[in-house]
Amino acid sequence: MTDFKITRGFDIPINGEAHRELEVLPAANTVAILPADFHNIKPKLLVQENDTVSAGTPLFFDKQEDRFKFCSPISGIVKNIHYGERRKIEKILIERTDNVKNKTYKTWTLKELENADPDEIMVHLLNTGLWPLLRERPFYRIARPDKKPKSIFISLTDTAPLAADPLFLIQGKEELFKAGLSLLKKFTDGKIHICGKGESDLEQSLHGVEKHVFTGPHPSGNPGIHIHHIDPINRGDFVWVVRPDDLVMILSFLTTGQYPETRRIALAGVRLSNPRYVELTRGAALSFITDTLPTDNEFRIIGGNILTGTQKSKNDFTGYYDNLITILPENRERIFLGWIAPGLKNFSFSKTFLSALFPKKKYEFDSGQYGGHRAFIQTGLFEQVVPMDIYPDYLIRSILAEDIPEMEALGLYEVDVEDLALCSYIDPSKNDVNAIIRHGLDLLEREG
Amino acid sequence: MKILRKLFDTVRPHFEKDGRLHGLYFLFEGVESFTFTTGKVTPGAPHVRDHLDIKRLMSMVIIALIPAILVGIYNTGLQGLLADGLAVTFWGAVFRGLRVVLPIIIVSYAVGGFWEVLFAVIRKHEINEGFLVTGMLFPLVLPPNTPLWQVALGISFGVVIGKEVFGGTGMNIFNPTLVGRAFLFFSYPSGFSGSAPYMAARSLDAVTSATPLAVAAATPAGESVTASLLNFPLNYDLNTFFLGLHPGCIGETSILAILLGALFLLLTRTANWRSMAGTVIGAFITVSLFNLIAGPSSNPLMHLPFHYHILMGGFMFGTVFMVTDPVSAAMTRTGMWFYGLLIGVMAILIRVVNPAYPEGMMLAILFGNLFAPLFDYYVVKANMKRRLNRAQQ
Repeated sequence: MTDFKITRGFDIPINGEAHRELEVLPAANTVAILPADFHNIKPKLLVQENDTVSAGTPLFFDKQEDRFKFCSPISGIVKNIHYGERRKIEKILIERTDNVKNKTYKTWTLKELENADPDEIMVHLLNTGLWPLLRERPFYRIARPDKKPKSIFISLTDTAPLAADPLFLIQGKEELFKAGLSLLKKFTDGKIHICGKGESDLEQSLHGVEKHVFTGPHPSGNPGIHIHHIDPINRGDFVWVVRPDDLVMILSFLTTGQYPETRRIALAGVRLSNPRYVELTRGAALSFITDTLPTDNEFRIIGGNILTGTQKSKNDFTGYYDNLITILPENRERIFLGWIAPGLKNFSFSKTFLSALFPKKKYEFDSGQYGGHRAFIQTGLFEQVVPMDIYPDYLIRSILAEDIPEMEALGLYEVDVEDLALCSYIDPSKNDVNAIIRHGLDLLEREG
Repeated sequence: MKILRKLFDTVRPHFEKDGRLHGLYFLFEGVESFTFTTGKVTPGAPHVRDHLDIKRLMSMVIIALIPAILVGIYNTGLQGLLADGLAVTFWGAVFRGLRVVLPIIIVSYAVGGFWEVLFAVIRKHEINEGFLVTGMLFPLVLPPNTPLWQVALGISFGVVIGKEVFGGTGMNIFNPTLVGRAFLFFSYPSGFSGSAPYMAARSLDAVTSATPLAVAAATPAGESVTASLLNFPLNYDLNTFFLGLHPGCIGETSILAILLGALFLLLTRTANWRSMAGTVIGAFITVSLFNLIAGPSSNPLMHLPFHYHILMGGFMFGTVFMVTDPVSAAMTRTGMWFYGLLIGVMAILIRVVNPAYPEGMMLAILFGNLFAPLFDYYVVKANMKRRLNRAQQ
């Protein structure tokens, strides 16, 4: 067990965290699958409108890797296929019908799993659309089948603002999680690294894996930080990253033969009447939250956290990977001479507002940009929130210059957007570092 | 407020696309965003942004400069009264100081601001608030008897050649304020020599009121610099230096005022402490070495103790407000240390060894600006090498 004390970084003091209580919501009757949830795939349809599908039936596959299949989480009929510009498939709507019964898939007992053939499990997961839960770094893409990662990372802590607690997401299913760890060992010749805060009973009780303790502010819970400190990625290397709740979902499927229809999700945001965890049908419509929001304000619905999540419209659906929905008030208010206000109520990473006198206070954040875009000025600032041996200013410059060898040399393989998202947050020049890193990663994946 | 808001909303269409005044959009944007916050929401992830923007960041530097500005105004008036042999009253000094300093500040802002807006409009980008700082720093590093046309010329050179030719704010290699000052320094040296009779241009009786550094530099070999400072008619002791009531550039004299500003900059984390600390340490090492090797017949400045060096001239002002300029400084943490050290060493070297210039801070900082990218280059190269070595293991 190694101890890593992360000092650089920053916890955004936002309030509205989900209470640790679980509400099981009624099953949704319409769900959607959104191809855009999956990193860099080219979807090709396998179904037409009005086809009947049962839970786990493939709806489309990826033209570049035809073993990647994407399936319906519920049984019913394909109600609608939405196309966007240039006939891009935007979403596939499935409506639950009573006459289509759920299939029962092959089951393994925990004992059988220990001796199971990893290739058989792989094919099974690929065909039922659960394989995409296993992801690969760099690039956070779907794990390539047949390619053994040099190690596998699982984070038991999520330090992102208002994040769902991974330990709560798998509460009551710890045995499945442990069985999942043994299963993952079959997929790598390297080690399984479990990174957490080191406090939970679950962590204490784990054996046969490498345990690491990461403490400190965000992004100390990000897999990218763990990988960097434990088993860094060089050119040509890749590791897997698996979230605990995803692993449990896979194991629950393998051991029961029942297609996992629901996912545990945290609902966060201070304006929610009751921020909490819910058990929700995968791909369910977001209307169950949006209908309960106060009407005095405009709200932004974010699939994921406020640093990296995707903005959703009112009529949208939860995404394949979403285990957190954040509700954030929009703020378009224009304040007279706001830039020089004393700022007791305005939180800032810097100490340039009076709010700095109350370091423990938490705030209701909103979507305001608080300033116009300017040239990069306050250089050296980003290093304070990037706990890696990486120079963010220079990495950003190399990406702006589209200099691929330089990006590689400066460590772009080791980061993902989420690891540098705080740079965007703190930048007084309001540059979009997220978009710059995304651009660099896309370039590198395509041409590197 | 509502009336003002309405006014902006009424004229806005003229500046937007297809409006008659679209060419001046960024001027409009500058004025509007100065008056009201943008009201924009984040376009996507990250969905929240910090409350700090460049406007506020730059205002923090201006706030930090206020003590130095106030003392500078009073001191300018005071020295003027003394030079003219007039009776000294507090308000008399303040008014006289205002008469000298305000026009310089106004010219600096007006002329510099003109260039800033012109380039923003032509290049079609937002007006950068960094100019608020440059426009204020520039008057503070000038001797009070600088003619206004020189102020205009200097700030123009600083903004255009020091900044805009490199592509504007954020791209400049040198600190624009110091580029402007260096231009005046070399083009019109008489005003900057430090030994010119103070306020001579406006005073019939040219009382020799040389700056402390000029007095120090003029000390004959074998004599003590501290003694000649004390024997000088104006009684240059440490208290005078600390409070700043002696001749010198407008904002640089009062160490107390500068330290107040430094405290504010550090508390608000507007300036980086590493480069500041590096500069002071670099100066300390160099002074100590000189003190160590100085013999009885050597240059008397080599004997001058460290605290005199940091209290005299522009050392502290430069350390607090110029070295910390994030654009022209080194970017990496390690680079900042080396950058600061180099400036500290160079400033003292120039002061002690170079007989031509009593003050070395300006040139030392410009020299440091030149080397900052090199320090960063090696820091970043070392990082790349670490990564490469790791891969080969």
